[in-house]
Amino acid sequence: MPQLLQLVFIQFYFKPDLTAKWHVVWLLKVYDHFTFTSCCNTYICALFMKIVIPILILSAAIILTGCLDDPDCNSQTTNFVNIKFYNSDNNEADTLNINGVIASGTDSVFFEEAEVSSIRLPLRPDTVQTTFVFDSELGIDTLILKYSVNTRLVSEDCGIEMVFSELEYVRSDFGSIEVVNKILVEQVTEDVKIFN
Amino acid sequence: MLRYLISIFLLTIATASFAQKVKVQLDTTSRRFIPTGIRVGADLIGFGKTFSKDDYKQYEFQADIDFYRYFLNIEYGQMERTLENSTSLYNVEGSYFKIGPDINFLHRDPDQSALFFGLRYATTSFSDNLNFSYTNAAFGDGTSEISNHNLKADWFEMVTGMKVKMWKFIWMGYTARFKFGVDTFERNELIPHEIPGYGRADKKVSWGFNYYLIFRLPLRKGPQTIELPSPDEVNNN
Repeated sequence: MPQLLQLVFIQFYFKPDLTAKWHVVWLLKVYDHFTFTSCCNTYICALFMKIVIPILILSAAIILTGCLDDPDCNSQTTNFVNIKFYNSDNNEADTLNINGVIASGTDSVFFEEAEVSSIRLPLRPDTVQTTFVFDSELGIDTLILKYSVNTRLVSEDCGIEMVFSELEYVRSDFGSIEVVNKILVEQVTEDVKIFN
Repeated sequence: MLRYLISIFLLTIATASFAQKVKVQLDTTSRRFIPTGIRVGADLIGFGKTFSKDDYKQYEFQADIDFYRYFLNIEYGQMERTLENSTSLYNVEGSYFKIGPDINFLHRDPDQSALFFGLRYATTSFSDNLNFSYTNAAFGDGTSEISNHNLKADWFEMVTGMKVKMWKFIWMGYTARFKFGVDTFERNELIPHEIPGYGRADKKVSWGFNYYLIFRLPLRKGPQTIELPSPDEVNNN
């Protein structure tokens, strides 16, 4: 339906006279036909049709505008940040022996002992900054990430969606760090690069 | 359903016979840019939604004045809407104003009916509020309330439609709108769900449709009209 309407507008833009003619033929004369000619002959009937047709158009419009309001529920946003480790000498992917990662403000330990090449950590939704403490083969390192949280209501059926954007680091004890993706979405598998 | 409607539509066109006498307005040069009347209308779709839906209020009015084949339009509307589900409650309210010119392609119609195409500049001021609760496995669940106060947004519209005389001073008309060029406020803490007068705020372009009940207040007598003989009459003579 919107595509069809768009065609009308494009035609209007390039050939206004032709479209006007087309508009008249298809709408005014049909309207006239309904109200005055073969289908109704009496004045009362014509008057009746004049009332009925607007009501039909009106109800169709209300139904259509209701249908076009449907949003899609597949939210792609996430509060998880993907961190990948690199070797600072040759810029190739590297692994890190991690004893544990904890975030300030919670007691939960995100990672038990493991050797990993990448790590997936959640950001706090109630503040705009999350502090992670890494206990690894390199010692105790602190990483503070700053971001902004934008919330929107998608629809009554879908509920809300939180968008984590403008990701940047405030403090990092690692060799060097680079933020490669500022808006967190499910499809992106690498948001932050850490070079050791 | 739509398919049936279209076929009925086509059938009626095919069987239509147009043997009416044609009235034409004389194209006078003097005083033609002096307005002949003001039309004031109320949007029936807005009233219909207000009446049929809970938590939805919309009132929209339009007025236009004619200068030969051009109209100057102003539109004003107010809306208020509440959206609710199990975890969130969203409320938006605001008013909007639109202004712009129309060009009339039916300016020689004896009834002064209009088939128009036009542009609008629209502006709105609105406030919205979202109360929500969220679940988070790592940091625990929580609730929050965020709001925007007196946000201002503006956009442009391409419009087309008709205004047809029904009876004496009572007119009806519809306007279809293509809306574009709005700021979607992606950087706000609360991203608005709906912009009054525009529609869903996450859409870069939006469509709209109004159906108006219009009252026309005449300012002066319109141009003179003559009746053309029908083709049959011409052939008989």
